[in-house]
Amino acid sequence: MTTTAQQKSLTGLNSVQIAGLVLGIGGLALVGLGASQSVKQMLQSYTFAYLFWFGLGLGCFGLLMIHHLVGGRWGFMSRRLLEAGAMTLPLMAVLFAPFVLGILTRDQNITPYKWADPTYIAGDALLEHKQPFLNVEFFLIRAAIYWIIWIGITLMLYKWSYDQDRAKPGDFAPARRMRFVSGIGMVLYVLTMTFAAIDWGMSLEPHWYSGIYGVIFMVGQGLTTLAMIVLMFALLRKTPPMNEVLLPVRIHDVGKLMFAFVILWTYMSFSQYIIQWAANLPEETPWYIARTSSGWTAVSMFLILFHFAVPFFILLSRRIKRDLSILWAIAASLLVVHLINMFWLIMPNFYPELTVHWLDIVSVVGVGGIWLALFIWLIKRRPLLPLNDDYHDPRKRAGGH
Amino acid sequence: MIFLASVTMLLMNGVGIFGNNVPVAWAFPIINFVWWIGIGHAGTLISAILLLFRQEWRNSINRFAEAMTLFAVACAGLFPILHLGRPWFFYWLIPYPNTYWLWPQFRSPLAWDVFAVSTYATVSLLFWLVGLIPDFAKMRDRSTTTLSRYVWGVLAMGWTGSARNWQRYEVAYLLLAGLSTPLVVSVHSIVSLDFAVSVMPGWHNTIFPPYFVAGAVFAGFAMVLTLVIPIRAIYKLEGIITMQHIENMAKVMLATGMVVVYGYAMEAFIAWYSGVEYEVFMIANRMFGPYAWSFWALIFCNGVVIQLMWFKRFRTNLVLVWIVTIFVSIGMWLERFVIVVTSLTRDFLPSSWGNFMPTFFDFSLYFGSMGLFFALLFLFIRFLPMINIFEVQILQRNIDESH
Repeated sequence: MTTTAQQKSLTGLNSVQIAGLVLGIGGLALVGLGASQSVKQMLQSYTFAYLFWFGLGLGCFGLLMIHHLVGGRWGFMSRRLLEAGAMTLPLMAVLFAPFVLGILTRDQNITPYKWADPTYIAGDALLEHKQPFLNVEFFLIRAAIYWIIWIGITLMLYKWSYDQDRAKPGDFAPARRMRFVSGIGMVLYVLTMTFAAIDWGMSLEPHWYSGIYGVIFMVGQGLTTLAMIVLMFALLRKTPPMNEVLLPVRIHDVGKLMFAFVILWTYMSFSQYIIQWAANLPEETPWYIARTSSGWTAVSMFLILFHFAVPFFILLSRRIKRDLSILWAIAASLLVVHLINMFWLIMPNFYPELTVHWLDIVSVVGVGGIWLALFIWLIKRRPLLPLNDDYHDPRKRAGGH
Repeated sequence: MIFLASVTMLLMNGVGIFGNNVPVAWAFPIINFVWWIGIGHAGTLISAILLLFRQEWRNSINRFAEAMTLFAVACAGLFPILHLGRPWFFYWLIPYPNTYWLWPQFRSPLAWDVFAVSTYATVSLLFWLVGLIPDFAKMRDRSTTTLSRYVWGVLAMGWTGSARNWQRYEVAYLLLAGLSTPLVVSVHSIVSLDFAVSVMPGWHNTIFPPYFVAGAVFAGFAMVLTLVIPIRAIYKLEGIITMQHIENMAKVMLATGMVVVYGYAMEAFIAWYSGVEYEVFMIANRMFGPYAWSFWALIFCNGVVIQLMWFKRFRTNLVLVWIVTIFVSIGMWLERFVIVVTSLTRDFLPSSWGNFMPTFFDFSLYFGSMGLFFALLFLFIRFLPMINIFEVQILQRNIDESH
């Protein structure tokens, strides 16, 4: 399908892909080595790294469905990237295996999910109350349901998108099907992701609870996905046909969305903080105490500054939001800062003092490398822009916005 | 009239005329306050956020929606003031230097409400007035009597229609839109914090701020549709407020409604998951206690009825859409009733449980406020251009050019 001109300019992607593959295999090998030293430590690090990268796949999935529902040209330009990102989910399902193997041991000295260990919950009234939900069997059943839904819908959207490329002009059947499934898919995504966040993140601290937790995760996924899209735009901006559509006004749209997600993240996180801080309940405050004592205070402050204040004030500028040569740097920094945010969300459960284990780093590199390699391989498999989406294609529709 | 009579009674007799009691110290006044303020939000959303997203379909309904916002906020603002006990001292809520050394409690979200709502009202008013300036000028140029020319002339503030005028206007309008957008979120978030920062079972949930904001937009869009559908029919505005508008609004209503349903689900799940006995009891009491009827009515209105909006056939059926919006308005009122009353009547100690029975004046004040709202709205329709004249002209020109 790809033309020779495109092929030539895609070589830049190849080097990223190879680097990702090498780093991924190397990283995962080191993770395996780490597991031979301490399975517990390896699983802790892996949980954090996995939740970050898996969020990119799921963020692509969510934004893709939003685009099918509400349209918009920003989505036309990013659709192939979003599809490629969502198609990494089958791989992420395979990489979910350590979670399953860990929790099946039902041993709190191995799995990060302490509630899986019967000796841990014995005598704890609150945890015994949660047993109907927090038990190993139901945890695995739920995970299976999430994966079936996510991968099933992704495959449908991916297939129909291919059909649309081959459809005759004026045939709207694939577009209609994609929109229909996205409507249902969006409802399912929100529900499953909320419970996945509760299962895989919140239940690491089994006494603690927060109603907004799933939303914080979803907003984070949207933000990292948009940042990744901006990075890919920066990489592909000279490549035909992307160079025809990546005009400042379109970059501006994606920049605005990224800005909105920075604000949303702040809003959700601050809501949770002020409500729990003001109520000061014994089930809730320990979570924040752990994150505002010892070295973690510095991380909290860092996040307020660099996950909110600095990107907020930079992105207020219209000029920056329209200029890929600056915007990509902000997107890259947001990805890094959000990784730190994930570290801050997950790791204080394990490290009372702020530390970084070498396994934390190699897990991020390992899972991320593999993810990136697959993502780029998928991008190269199809034309960079949908072929028959006349309605959203700015080159085919004059005027408008 | 009912409203005036009720307010007079209230001022003469004090808040004792309400059904409020201990433990239900907050009842109808806060329910009505939250209900009205929520309705106001759709106006700002339509005008400001859709402007920022360059959704030009908004142009024929924004003026109307903004007016609705202002009148709803006016109705909302009255309730907490009337509930103060000594409403004539309401200005004590504002932190001004005074010889009493009297300051509001800055740690209370109720004091934040004062700032949030008054800022919101001010910015909404400015936004509305700035948007009206070009139309005021048009009214001035078309007026036949000296008096009306004078009045419109003052309001138009010397608008000449020059390129510079327009350029300044665009900038000011965009900036105000940018300012209003965070206000939509902040006002209702703070309203939700009135509840959420407490330790009250059923109020204390971190999902409250986004869920309240979605609920506000939901109720607001329902109210816009409730009003627009008959007005469109009466004044024959089918060419300006098209089916596309109605459908889009119905879709927004569906989307925000689904967020609200998500809020209910998370409330219930987290209440159970927390394992805290008061929370677990609260949710059981809400679903099966003495006020269970209100909970299930709420789920029916907000959760079940709106599912019809998934289908194009129903979205384009005006009578049906109108009926759905009425259900939503009732549902959103019930939502606040459920939150306030079920939590307060049965909280921590069974010995201090109580019941709540609204009185005649609770209802008369509530329905009276609707009278106030509609009176203001009809005055607006009568005297001001309810559809943005110049924006429709621009739209018309774009359409003409493209054909």
